[in-house]
Amino acid sequence: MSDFPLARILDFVRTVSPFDTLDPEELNNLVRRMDIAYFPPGSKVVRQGGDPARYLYIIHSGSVKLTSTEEDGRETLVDVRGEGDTFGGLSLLHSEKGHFTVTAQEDLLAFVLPAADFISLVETHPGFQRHFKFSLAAHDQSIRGLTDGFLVQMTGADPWGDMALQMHNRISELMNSPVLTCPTNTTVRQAAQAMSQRQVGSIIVVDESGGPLGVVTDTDMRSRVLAQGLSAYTPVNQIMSSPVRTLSQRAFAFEAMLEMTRQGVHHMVVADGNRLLGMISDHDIKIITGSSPVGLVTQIDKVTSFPELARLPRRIYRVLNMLLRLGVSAEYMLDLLAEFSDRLTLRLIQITEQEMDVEGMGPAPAPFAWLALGAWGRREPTPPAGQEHVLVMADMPADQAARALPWFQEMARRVKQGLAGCGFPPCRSGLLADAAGGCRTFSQWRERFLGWAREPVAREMETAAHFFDFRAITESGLFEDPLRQTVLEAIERNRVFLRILARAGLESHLPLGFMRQFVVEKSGEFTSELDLDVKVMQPIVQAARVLALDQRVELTGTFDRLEEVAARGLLHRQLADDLHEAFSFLSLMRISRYLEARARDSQPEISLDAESLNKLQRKMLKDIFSVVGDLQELMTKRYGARPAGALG
Amino acid sequence: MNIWSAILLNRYARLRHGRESLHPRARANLSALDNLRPREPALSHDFVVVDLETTGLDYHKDRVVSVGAFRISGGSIKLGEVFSELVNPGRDIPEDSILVHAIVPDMCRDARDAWEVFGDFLDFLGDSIMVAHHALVDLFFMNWVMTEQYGFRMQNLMVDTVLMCRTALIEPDFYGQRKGARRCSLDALAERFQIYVPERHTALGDALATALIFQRLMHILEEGGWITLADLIHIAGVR
Repeated sequence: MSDFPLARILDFVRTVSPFDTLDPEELNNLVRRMDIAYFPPGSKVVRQGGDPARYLYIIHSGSVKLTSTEEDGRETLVDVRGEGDTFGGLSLLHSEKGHFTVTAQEDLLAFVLPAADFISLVETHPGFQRHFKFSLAAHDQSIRGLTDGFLVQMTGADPWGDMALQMHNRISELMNSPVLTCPTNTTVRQAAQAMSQRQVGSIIVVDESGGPLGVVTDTDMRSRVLAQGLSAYTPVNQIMSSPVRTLSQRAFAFEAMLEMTRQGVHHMVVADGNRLLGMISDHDIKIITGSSPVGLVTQIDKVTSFPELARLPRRIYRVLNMLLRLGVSAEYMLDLLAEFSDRLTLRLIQITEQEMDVEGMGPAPAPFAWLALGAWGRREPTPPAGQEHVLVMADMPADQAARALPWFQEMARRVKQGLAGCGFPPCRSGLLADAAGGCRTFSQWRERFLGWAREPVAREMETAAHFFDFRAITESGLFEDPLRQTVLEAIERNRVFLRILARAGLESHLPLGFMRQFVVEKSGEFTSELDLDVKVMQPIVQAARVLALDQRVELTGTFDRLEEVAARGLLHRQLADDLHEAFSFLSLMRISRYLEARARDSQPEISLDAESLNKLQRKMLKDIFSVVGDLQELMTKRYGARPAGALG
Repeated sequence: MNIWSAILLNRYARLRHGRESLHPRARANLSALDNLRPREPALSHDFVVVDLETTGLDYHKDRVVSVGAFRISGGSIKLGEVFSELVNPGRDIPEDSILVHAIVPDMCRDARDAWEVFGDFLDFLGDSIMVAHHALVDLFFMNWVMTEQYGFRMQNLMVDTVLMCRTALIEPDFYGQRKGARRCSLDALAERFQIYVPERHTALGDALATALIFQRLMHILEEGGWITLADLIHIAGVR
């Protein structure tokens, strides 16, 4: 058969993944099987629950949105796909009804491939199989900019891909039901008998109406009855875990997983309001996942050596990878990352303490607190976040402090190296506990903070800013709260500080040249590279910090700060929501770029190349720039006026 | 044009030529209107979008140099059903037309003659309805070969996208001022619908552009619900 006469059509299809893996002959034949279909804006190309798709659609121009209608009639946006993306593949493979409703957003011109041809392609080409098997999971690929190459590469080697699909199961399909229940006056002995009869590991204590009150597990029997020497006739309501944590039966499996991970529990009750429906355990999820991510975070606590700890980050990135594909929100992922890095640091500190004791340096000479600063303090350590921390020692006489200092510095050095070994490089600003001035007593730190707050110096503000996001990682609330209160009070007395801090943040200008690049064709004049973190995320972080300090908000997370400040009326609700959205998107983009680089075994690039962005991402970034612009304008209005007096 | 008069004319042609000893191809063409369903949606029929490149627009002297056509079925353009062939014009190719279609005499030297290519095109066409931009030009050149070869005109219906465009996009032209004419050019429409066919001014490229425009215009005409074949022919049929 001769070449397809319109070379440009071939050229286009050749660029579409995974069609780019076909040899020219196959491609040539395949294009002849395709049709060009047109859909006006607003027309529904595929209907959720409608007839099985008859075609695979390749978008030539225009875009579509994928929406899913929940049982309660709510419509949620699942994805937006644009030029060069495909849709309809998943439903074809499973010859099922449409999973989503696909609506044309603009004039949509699509190349459509009949079902039979598509299926035979998938059967004969492993590349197609890998690509389309996961297209559902990859639904946010277009937004988050994972390249197709990355996906195929990841899914080829990664058993988590399969799982990703299943994690979209609803809880109602996974839960154990009916569950074993008992009234509150049941004795421990009766409950234990019922449990062994049914061969289950837990029993739910219910009120008269059948509403769940608490849970008793095998472990509870062991630790709260036997170990405590309680009688077998103790009523269960004295030993049950209460209140119960419930999940909706409509929640997805991954939501259950996240919830369990966050709360560190292994069972959750499924209920519809007060109506008990069933029970789900991390074991049920383990069946899907093959291993339990629930245990990942808590497992850190059981590790006893550095090398073992150093193996854990790889697992957290696999979990992140999966979450990314599931379309889990940025907040969840940041939360998980923060929880992970916190526990990792804490465990490193504990191991180091023991190690130093064994080596004859003795235990910690004084109580101390490990303060995380910057992104770690804000609980948003988007990789590759550099470690930033300082150490607070309890107050003690000067000579004693001088003697204690070497021990703490040695400990800090080891912890820093441990973290570096886990893939968290020390931060460039050099704010590290083992650096000079990184270990101080509580009073010394207090003075330092007060110094900044009382007599702010513009050039120190950039460093100081990182300090104001501090958060204690060790459990000693002993130093954290007094320190925070002192700082907040001092700031309240000296409002000039806020202006200076705000202005330090306003100094970084939005990269408008980069933005113009989106509109104008590429020319040498404009930079095509952008450091997302420094140029776009930091202005949001800084503004949130200033506004929070202004309002004596003690929270350190950017999301939390924005929320709180908006609740107090300092930020317009709409702007706060837009900023939230922007920050989520940017965080996700950073996480996905980092994971992508990891998968390629290459160094994650810090700056973003405008040319690597797809149309949708550009549009998003443009919107984000305008939101950040609004925020900077607000900050200028509020704090921009040069402070009168002292500082001139 | 009225679809019923087209059908009537077809009956008449059949009466006149039906008893002659005809080439099977010609006989098939006589029954090209047999499967029409005038009251059914227009898009339930098959269309063939055709474009001819010629040596010029002088009907007496000029000849076809290439033929390009796409089939539209169920509203979708079939990339597998493409007709594309150069034609030996049997005369020189004027320079000014080369500037348009970039077909130089050398390329046509080994091409087949018009009547041979046209025969294959008729087979490709079958009983589909033809679509062309400024359809009368294409229809003239086709009828020229058709009459010479088989003794009667093309029987298939022909839809003109220019006429569709006038109805769909341009306000009525009561005084014949032809103000909207420029807005109905292939380039203007491609621009309007953001259709970029890089192979413009090849017969096949223009046929594809016309097909894409036809899809859009059909949608605009169907804004208030689908239209019947009879309606479409009434709006845009030519003969």
